[in-house]
Amino acid sequence: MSATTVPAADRLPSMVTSPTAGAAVEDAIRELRPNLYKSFLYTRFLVGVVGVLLPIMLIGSDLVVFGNAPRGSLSAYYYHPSFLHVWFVGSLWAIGVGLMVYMGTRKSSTAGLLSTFAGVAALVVALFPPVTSEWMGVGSRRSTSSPPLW
Amino acid sequence: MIGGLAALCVGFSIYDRNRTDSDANAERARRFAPVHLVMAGLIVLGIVAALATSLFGFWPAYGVLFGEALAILAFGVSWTLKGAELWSGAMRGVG
Repeated sequence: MSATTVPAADRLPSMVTSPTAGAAVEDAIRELRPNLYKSFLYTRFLVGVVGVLLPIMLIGSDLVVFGNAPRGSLSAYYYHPSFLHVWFVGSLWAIGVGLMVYMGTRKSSTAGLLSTFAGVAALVVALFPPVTSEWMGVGSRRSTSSPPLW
Repeated sequence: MIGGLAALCVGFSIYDRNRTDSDANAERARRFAPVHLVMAGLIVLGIVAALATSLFGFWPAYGVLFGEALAILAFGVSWTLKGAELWSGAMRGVG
């Protein structure tokens, strides 16, 4: 019997323990728990919007609102003496927490592990900014002593 | 961080291409599946650009910024597209 003819309720229990069955699990969740699926979609959409706005706001505001040349990296906006600092840190927290929680019941899937890892990495970037004298506005070249965004 | 996001975008593409439902929603998702793949490629390109700048001094002023911004933008576009299924017909009336 093919996977498409087995009722989703019968397929789900064995799927949630499989680390590579993300797509099939998502199909079953869409069918069985549309509310849960809708929350996946909300989280994805909001995390995506925050991601799109992050570089646009940082670079665009630096150019247009403050009349400055853009800084050397997005991480450098941690030290921007304006709301851009808050935007940078807040966006990373939003993206990080969104990535960590959105998989919900499927933490053991490959995608769940990847998104959790990426979420933790985003929080690390937000919590431990690069320590560089140039980015802090005191003049010398940047160092690579802390994790880059990528 | 962003490297993992490229893999997730590839996953979106594979999943959307192989969806088992057959409504208009799934058709839309299948149409956008290649977009997620392109975005994953742009994320990798952004990482390579940032690495090239760091390692070889390529475009020292803005190479890292360009790479990071490209990667984050591509990630955001992919996830926004994926989440936009929320406003498709199949999700109306749910919740």
